[in-house]
Amino acid sequence: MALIAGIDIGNATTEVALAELSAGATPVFVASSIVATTGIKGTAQNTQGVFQALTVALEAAGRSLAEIDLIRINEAAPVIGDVAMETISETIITESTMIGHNPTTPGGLGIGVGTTIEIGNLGRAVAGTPYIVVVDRSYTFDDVASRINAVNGAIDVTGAILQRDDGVLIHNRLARKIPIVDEVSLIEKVPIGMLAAIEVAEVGRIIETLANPYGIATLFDLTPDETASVVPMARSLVGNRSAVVIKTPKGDVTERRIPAGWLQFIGDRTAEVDVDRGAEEIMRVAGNVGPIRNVRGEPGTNVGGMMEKVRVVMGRLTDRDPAGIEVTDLLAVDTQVPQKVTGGLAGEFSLEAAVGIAAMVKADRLQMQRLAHDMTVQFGIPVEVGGVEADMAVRGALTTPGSSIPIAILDMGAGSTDACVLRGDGVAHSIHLAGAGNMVTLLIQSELGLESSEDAENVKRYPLARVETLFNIRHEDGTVEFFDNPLPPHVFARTVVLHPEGMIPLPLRQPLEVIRQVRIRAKQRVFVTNALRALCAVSPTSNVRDIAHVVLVGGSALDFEIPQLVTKALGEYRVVAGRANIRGTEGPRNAVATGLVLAWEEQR
Amino acid sequence: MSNDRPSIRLRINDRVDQASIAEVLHGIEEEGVPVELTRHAELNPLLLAHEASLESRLGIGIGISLEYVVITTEKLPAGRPYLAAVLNRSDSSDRKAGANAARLVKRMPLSDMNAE
Repeated sequence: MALIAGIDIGNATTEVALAELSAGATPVFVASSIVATTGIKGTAQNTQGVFQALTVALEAAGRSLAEIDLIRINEAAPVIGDVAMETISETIITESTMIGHNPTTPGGLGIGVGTTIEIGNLGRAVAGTPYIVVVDRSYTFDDVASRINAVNGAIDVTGAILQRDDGVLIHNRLARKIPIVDEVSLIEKVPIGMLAAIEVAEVGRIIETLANPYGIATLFDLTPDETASVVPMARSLVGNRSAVVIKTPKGDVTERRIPAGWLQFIGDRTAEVDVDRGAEEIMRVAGNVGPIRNVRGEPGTNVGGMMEKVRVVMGRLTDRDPAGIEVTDLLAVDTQVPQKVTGGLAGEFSLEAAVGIAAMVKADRLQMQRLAHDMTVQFGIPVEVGGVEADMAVRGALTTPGSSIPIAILDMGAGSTDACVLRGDGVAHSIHLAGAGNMVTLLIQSELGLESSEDAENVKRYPLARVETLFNIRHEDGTVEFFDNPLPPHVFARTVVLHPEGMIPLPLRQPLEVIRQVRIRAKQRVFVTNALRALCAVSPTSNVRDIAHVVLVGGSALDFEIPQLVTKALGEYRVVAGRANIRGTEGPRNAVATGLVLAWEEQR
Repeated sequence: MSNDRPSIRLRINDRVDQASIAEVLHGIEEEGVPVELTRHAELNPLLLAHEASLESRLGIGIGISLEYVVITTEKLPAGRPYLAAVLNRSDSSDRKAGANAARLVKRMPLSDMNAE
């Protein structure tokens, strides 16, 4: 009888399967364990985590380290991935010609047209000319209201633009009501002495006139040519509750395409594609060159910089010269990113087009051998490197009740998505693809405009809820949960992430449903896309339909919705797909560790 | 004013002068929520706030006394108010206190009254 430990050192976790093997009998698994991987996968620092994981498993089984006859570690999947994102369009406001934002409490209602004037100069205003007053934060609301009231009847004030959040306070104190836009942070940039129009919509409504090119043309008496030139401005004001448009001689709003550069795929053939043409075209070209050996970006462009960044990160992780790093797969995803508008006066945002890219490089195969040798010396127990990681995972996955050969596994990790198919004739075929959990986090972070990647990670991992009252929240599925104690003020009326350690409020104004859709779409665009790409590549007929069973393993298979999304998508191809349950007890964990033990049994 | 009008109730101690609560009132006004003010001999701001909340048809009460501004709801016991801050620490902290009382009514996210 022998005591064998199968150990899987992953990017995030180190897992152990401990089993007793006697000749002729099926292995008896006595314990499993899982701890966080110490150091970067494949480096000497891993030993610490391995020792820790072994100790936990041995304790659970009531055995000691000296009793182990053999340790088998995985030959690591020789890939690591990285992600990057670049915007390819940009909105620029020249000469500060518009303000379009949503202060929570603007003042007044309706439309006002007039010449902009600083409130301090109201005394010098000419009767008969309509004016819009511009007020910086040095004036109190009392002062502003009394100054405007003082000229009532003599000077025609048709609207106000404020730096402070005083719109309602001033409005309540005016003898004659006017529309007021407040919270304009860069008030000093508002051009003075120019014709301007201001519009504030009713509560719950959005502006109609300034978001309509003909509306602006009517207010400013524009020629057809001039009307054509205000279209981008009107378009960028759609959806706002309040807005200001200022007519300056050369002012304009333009949307500029940033030349993103080309990507070159080098495989059996070589092909180039312009990044401007979008993710779909990039992926089509990538699919046409045969197995990819390297990907290059046009030097001196955004995409060139992006690929360079990936190479530097990968070079540092693998301790190699960045120039020699070869990118062997790339996943491109189209996305929309909220970006601060250049030239905006009130911190306006505009949705810009962007391309997110996940890249993957081959790592060094020798690292694991070295690690096994080190551990043999340290533990005084023979340590050997088992078979290819994906093959081991397949063997482990086959212990899932209800699975059978031919089987495919989809290993959804953080950096890469790996697939392996085991055919009826026993031949295994595997593939590694770029794009996994980290790419999902990047898409969530950029599409929601989150500053911290920690918030994005939380949005990815846990369901959302909205705090409705002091004592209840509404979950994203609509169910209501009550609490005995009042919920803290910092989460009141906010959208929160239901982290196991408590609610985390999100610094976002979007409705919960919008955040949820961003999250689901990010997961679909990475994992569903990659599941199909991977299965196409490993299927004996290049057709997803010819794989009967797909078992999902890896960290992302533990996600609360990714397995369902993939199961649903693959269901359309009549493929049985689901989350693995290794040995009927371990869930999607421990596949490789279990496979390492089983493989040794078979080769004896 | 009719007692039936939905409003935030603000109870202040007799000795607190009108000028020192101006910014709290402005904060409520900017958010567009009605408020009704009454003066009382009671010194404890917790009790003032609690009783104000019971009286308010919106269930939100503010108590101001002894240099504290306390905001609470009818559903909380007097001893455990929802929000509390030092009065007149700055114009903007007073304004935020008023705005927060109004935002409790409007069910909108609150701002941190003690941050500057």
